[in-house]
Amino acid sequence: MFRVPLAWLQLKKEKLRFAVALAGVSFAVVLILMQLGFREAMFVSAVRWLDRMRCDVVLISHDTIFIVAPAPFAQARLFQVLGVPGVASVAPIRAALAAFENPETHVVRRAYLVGIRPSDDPLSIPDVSRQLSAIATQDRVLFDEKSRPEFGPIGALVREGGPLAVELNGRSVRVAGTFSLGSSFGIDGNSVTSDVNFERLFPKRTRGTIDFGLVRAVSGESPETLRDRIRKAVPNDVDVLTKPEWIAREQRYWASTTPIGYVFAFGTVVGLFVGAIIVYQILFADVSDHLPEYATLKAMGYTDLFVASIVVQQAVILGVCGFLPGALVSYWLYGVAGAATRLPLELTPERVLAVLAVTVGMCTISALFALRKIRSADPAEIF
Amino acid sequence: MDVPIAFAGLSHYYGSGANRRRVLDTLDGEIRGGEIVIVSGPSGSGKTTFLTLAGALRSAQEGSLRVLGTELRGAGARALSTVRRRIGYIFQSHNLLGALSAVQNVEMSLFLQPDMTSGVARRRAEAMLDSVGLRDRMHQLPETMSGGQRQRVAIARALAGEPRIVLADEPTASLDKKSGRDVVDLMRDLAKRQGVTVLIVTHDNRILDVADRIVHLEDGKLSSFADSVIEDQRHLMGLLAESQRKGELIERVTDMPLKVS
Repeated sequence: MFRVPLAWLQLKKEKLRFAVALAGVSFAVVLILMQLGFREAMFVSAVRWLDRMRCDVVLISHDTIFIVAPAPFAQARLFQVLGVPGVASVAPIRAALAAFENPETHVVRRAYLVGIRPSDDPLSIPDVSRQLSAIATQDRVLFDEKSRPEFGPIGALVREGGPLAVELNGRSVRVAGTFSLGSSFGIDGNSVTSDVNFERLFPKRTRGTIDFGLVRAVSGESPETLRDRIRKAVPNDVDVLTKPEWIAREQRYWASTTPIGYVFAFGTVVGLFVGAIIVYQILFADVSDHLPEYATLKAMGYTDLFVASIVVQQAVILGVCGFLPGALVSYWLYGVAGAATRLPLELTPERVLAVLAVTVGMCTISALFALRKIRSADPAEIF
Repeated sequence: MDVPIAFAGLSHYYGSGANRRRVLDTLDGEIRGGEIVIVSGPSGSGKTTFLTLAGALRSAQEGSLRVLGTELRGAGARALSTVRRRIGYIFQSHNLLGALSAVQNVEMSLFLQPDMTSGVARRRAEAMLDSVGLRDRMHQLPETMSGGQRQRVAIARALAGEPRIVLADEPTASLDKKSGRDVVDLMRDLAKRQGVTVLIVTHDNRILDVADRIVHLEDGKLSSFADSVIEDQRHLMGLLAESQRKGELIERVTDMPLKVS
């Protein structure tokens, strides 16, 4: 029944309409892929720090909503945990936003400063592990080369002139070296120093308080069991989570508690709607134009299903053909936007396939709506 | 001899309630195999309705209508569609598929047959177009053809599937005198060669001679063609006589000398 490619030939005949439909689908695809890309980048970037903290279980203050602005809690809580069976080691982490002055423009921006005990080596960032002795020195910090450019060309300056004098929280410190992490929606730049230097930079902060308590399990211990055991050992003012739970909580915050997650979800739906409406309009116009022809086909003995399948085929053709240019443009835009925002925009094969499926689905649904018009193709009316 | 189309007490109505209007009134008759029948009659006489019923394009409401052995009274969409596959249609405006070439249009009717292969369909479509004199235009789109050529493609399409019945609705309506003549002659020749029954609805008197039999439909009733012709002629002669008399009067008035004082 499909040996004459009628669906394709009909689409091809109306070249302008076909081009408009493809442009519409491509536009929707770009919109959807960009929104999803930013959304994913938001999730990935939001947990960059969490990913790199070596731990199985973490202690955080019950008042901490998200890691950018953590609420400190007593270091003693963490050391208390050392007595719990199954705990191999603990590492206290201090973290807060600190005012960093651009050494060239003197514009002040807030960078996320993480204070670690060098002896713990708690971060799986090779450049940090390598330079632990540097930050053990007084008033020395490491700076993230992939911080937003507004902080100045710190990496280049350090490579050229050695330790770089900068103002951090109003105190003169030196950037001893760099590492590579990247910004996120909540954090523009990153810096790492020792716990001692951290406390010097935040003189008003209560001594002996920490923001994250990293706990490592002895080998063979399940993080869930250990989490439950620690929960029983510490008071309720501290939340005890496994690392995956911590990551999920942080992402959930961005997805649902901030408007940003909503904006991207909304943008994706808008993209779908725009695409669906364009495809519907095009198919509806096409069906209207071909109504006498479809009625003729029915008169010849073709079934309603056959005629409907022509329209659905056209929708699938529009979906697939519109997807390809859309995906190519998105690929290019990911590069452009990734360079501009320093966000981890990545066009993964899974996302490409998912959006292709969604696009074809969107076109098919539009076709089903346009099909309602076909019922009025009454073969008895064509004489 | 089989009877492709037989109808008894066939009535048909449009609208419902107070607007219900009878368009066909208890028609009885049959159309025999291989016969070319023309249904004539003024517009609004119900002849197109009759054609859509005989062509299984709608189900019959009242009485009996058997087309190719299937009773169409109250028939469902599926039954109608099955009957339609054995009928060829030629429409007033050719109704070719604009996106398809002539040969593809003809193939569309061939692919309705089970087990039809692309090769066979192509050969038969080409042979059919050859027999309607369009050998050189097989791959042209309908929009690049003349009205007569399009109607010939439509004839090829209608006959390619070797239907038992061909229905034609005003096949010459959009054609000039010469193309119209060519088209009906072609229809008759091909139909006679294939032994197919042809039912033509027309009010084009110039093509009445292709018919084996002419039936006349007026106000939803079938009448003898002879009676209707005599009635028509009487009416026409009367009009002619009247206009002739008027003509003489006008001549006499114009011939009168002008006496202006």
